Amino acid sequence: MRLYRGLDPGIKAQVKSAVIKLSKDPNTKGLRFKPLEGSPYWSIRANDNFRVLVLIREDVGGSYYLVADAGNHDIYDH
Amino acid sequence: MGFPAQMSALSELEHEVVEVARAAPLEREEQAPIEVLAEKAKAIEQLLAKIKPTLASIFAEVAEPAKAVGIMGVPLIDEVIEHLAARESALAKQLVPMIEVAQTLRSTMFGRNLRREEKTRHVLVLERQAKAMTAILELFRDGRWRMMALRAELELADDSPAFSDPKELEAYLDKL
Repeated sequence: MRLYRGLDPGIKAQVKSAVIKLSKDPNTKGLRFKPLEGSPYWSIRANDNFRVLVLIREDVGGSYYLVADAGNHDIYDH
Repeated sequence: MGFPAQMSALSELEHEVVEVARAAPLEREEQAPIEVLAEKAKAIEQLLAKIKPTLASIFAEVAEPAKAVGIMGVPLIDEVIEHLAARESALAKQLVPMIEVAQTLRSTMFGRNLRREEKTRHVLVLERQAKAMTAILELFRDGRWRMMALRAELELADDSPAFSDPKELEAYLDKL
């Protein structure tokens, strides 16, 4: 939460929108929900260069998403 | 638990990448002999191969002691993430314009006054250069994200708020 609070308002709104889309449907077009190589985490797209780090967890009620972090994820391969 | 020693090795590799990439400016490469271009591509690929294990060593240097001390390890990870982000950004300023030039040259190469075989070789070498420089930037980025995942692992609390209704989630995020 400390990292979310520190985001610029524009990015914060995009992160919020992405997280809400994830909570509704991880297959939402443009969310690009995919695993992060070399870690148990997944990422979703907030904008072209900003992603959100997500962990999938399980409990008795089923699986749920844990939003862990967000940051720049520049795409260098155009 | 201190700043990873391997970080200085990474800085040296980063400087080498920039020096190698600058050594034969791409803007003049259409006249450069193919051997010179191929050497440059090979040198960048070799540096790429060295950067990967160096980043893995940095991760290991940070992850083991940080996991041992739990949440107390977060400030060091913050510092390493900040450092990697700065390095990635500095390197991107140097390499991204060169990648773009390589891609432009590659796409215009077939219109040039060279034999077909020469054109094909130039295109392949320019592709190798662009691909290796791109891969180096991606390694820095992915190394930073791996570190972010480690930080998240240490910071995640079992008492984090949970939501089953997206509207409740939205209301919660609006307050932050």
